[in-house]
Amino acid sequence: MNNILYTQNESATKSNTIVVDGVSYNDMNTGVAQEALRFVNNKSSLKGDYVSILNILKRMRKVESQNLQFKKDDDGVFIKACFKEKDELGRKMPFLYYCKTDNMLDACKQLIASAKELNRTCYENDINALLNVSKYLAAGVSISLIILILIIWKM
Amino acid sequence: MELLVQMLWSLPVYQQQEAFFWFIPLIAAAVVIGGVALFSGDSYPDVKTFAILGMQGAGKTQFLANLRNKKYDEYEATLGIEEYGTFSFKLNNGKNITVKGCKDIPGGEEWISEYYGDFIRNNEFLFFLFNGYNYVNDYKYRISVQARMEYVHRNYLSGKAKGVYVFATFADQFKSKEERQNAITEIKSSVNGKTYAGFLSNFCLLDMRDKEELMKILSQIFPNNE
Repeated sequence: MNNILYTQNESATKSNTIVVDGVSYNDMNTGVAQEALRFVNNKSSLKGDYVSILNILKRMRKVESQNLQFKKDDDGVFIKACFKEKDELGRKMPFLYYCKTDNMLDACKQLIASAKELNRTCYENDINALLNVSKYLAAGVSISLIILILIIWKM
Repeated sequence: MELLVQMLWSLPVYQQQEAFFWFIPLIAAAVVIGGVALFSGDSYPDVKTFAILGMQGAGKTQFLANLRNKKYDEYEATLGIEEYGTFSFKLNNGKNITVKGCKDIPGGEEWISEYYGDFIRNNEFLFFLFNGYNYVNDYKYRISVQARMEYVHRNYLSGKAKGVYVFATFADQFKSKEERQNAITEIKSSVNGKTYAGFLSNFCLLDMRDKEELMKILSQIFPNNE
């Protein structure tokens, strides 16, 4: 499994969809689809990377998905967020995505392409945050250091 | 305490009297604090385990947001298990409830066989939510709700749950009080003779965004004298 996209459909009465390596499944109780669902759900339950930075970005409204989370490990890149499209109840439609790569840019490109296949769109802000989260961290640390130096200097 | 008493008795008599007067306000304060805690119902937090179950889009996340006193303005559906850890809430009747290890499990069919069984068997209070409006107006939806209630019932029998509380949500979609009353009657009669009919003997039809109403209902489920 190199690529998994699991998402909700527009209607609450319609089954969710999981796309594994380009093949779409609605029944997730057997075979590849079940395995893929277990895999992305396990990834979703792990502590994500840069959680505090993402929380700050959520509070600052720099990202759109309040559930935005990602994890990069030996298996690849896992992303949890929402699509721009809403379901019939007016809720943002969430997704869990996994890509076997060690490159976040590559993962994001593949995510956007897989979403397009399902007529879904990712939020640009969320993608930007995923690509630049380490820069945000570096900027935050630099600002904190400058403030600390200024405080010490004034004392 | 023993040390304090010994110290008190080792003092000369006039100093003992003086020291005793210092204890009077302390004792009075302790009595007042104890009394307030006892009668306000804020005594010890009551720790419980909840399982929030039900259909997709029925309001499970909204229900949890209400209990956790969190805003849920940005409606996002749930996909993947959300763990809320431990949180507390206070009911209208003054009772404090602490919920331990709570999880928000999505309502999709694929989550049932994998996660619902343990979830139902290992929690004390089960809350089952479904869209009341869809139940009345969509036969396919009604059948799915009934199949899931049957599943909950089967696992409930082998579990440790103290009760199952059913909420039919989206009451606001019924235009009048009369329509709502008819819906309640119809929902009840639709499960006559089913094994899980007891779950619906005392169910509530409500708008899950109405936090006040939800808290009133929960105050009845968890009375303060329990």
